[in-house]
Amino acid sequence: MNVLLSKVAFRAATSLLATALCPLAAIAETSSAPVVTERTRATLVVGADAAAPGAPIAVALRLQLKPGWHTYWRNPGDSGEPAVVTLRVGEREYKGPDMWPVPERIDLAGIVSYGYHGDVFLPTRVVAPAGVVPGATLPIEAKATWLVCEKVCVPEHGRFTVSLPMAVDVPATTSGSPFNPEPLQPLPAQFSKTAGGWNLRVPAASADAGGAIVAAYFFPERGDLIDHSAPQSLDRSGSGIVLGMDAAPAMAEAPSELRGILAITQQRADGTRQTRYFRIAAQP
Amino acid sequence: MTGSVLLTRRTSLFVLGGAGALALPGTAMAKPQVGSPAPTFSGVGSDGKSYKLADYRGRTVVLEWTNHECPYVGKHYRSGNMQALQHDAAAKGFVWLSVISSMPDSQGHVGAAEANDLTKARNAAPAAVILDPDGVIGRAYDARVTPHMFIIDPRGTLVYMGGIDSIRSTSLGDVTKATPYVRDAMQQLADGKPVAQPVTQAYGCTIKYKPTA
Repeated sequence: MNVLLSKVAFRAATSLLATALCPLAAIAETSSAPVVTERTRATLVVGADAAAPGAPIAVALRLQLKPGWHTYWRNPGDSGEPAVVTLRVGEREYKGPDMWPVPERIDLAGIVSYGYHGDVFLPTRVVAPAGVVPGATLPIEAKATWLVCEKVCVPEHGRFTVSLPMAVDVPATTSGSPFNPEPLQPLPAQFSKTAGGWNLRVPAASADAGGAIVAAYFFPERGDLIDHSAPQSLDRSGSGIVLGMDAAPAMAEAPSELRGILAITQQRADGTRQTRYFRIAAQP
Repeated sequence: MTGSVLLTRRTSLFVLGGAGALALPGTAMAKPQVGSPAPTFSGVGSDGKSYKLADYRGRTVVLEWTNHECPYVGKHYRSGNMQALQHDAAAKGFVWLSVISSMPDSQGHVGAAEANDLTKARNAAPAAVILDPDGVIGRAYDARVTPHMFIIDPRGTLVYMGGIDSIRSTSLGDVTKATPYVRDAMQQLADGKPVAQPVTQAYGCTIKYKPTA
């Protein structure tokens, strides 16, 4: 458990300094009863011990996976499928998850999927009904399906209820925890269609801060644009960087905006490397 | 543009690497393309006979990558969808070949006897089940998941590649809601028409290929 927790804290810290300064242990948590399989401990969790009527709440499906197992990002890449969560809060229904943490590139003998190992938080934003009386308890119900894979793939599912006390004067949920991740910093970019796929161009001014770029990888939100298993080429010969991606076999029409997450690995003056993640909404 | 640079790089890898590079992951070989000749192959079936694509000139061939333990494959066999497609193919005079590319000791890997038992137990109707434990046929077709589907016309041209249908899920209930890409393609071919959606997105379990390093 401690190992899992420190891994989460570490992952969050890579994109957000505030989390590093605020140990995870200090974040309040309200959890449902777990659904436990041979592979997964699943809970529905809120990163607070109370909420105010009418306030936004991030409710996460938390999947604690046994070593070796993974589940999937919103775009699962060349195999698998993303988790689906349906939440009921008062009279309203919400579909999630809607805040996906940065995925890993999972390469199995050359076939690439996008997903997560370890302790995975998949939050959905909901709103506490305004009419609930402080002092009462708000039940948040969810049904969820998710796929876990190791050497084999197993679809899993669960129903959860987390009971959240309603109170006045609750501090707003702080973002930057795994329960409510800070949005990634945006990076301006352009994209174009090429003969064999797509180019993503990031101008020098925005790309270079932090040291020489030694590697980059783009995770597209849509699953029908690039060949996920093909290598992405990094061209640093001009100003900024150009990332070349092969087209998906079923080449889609050019989208109005190419959305996704860009991982940039930079080498600092002292030789160490760091990878940072940026939100991309590239324009043609 | 980028694509051609990458291709050149791959080609040189291929040349330098010699025979060993034949087994580089998917991208090392030219990817199969609809409208081009389908990659040739030969393999051994679970009945002990050898099967070559060249033997089927003049007939339409359907290739189904399978792994009986994959939940996506399970959805199409437990719903009876896959068997119905196989029977439909046979009725149209098409040759349906199921291919198993799982490496030994991985999910979905079976020997000949078990493959035959599975066919019987599931009332499946492929013309043959080809055992491809080294992944050679799978890599040649750049098959990535189970199920991954390909159709080759009587002239040996690849005319369909992609998913079995349009809904990426393991739920049996989605089979009847999905657009049945393979069923539609087979009907169009039987009617002498071009396949309306010749390339679609495949979904499923990663094929458990033998590592190629």
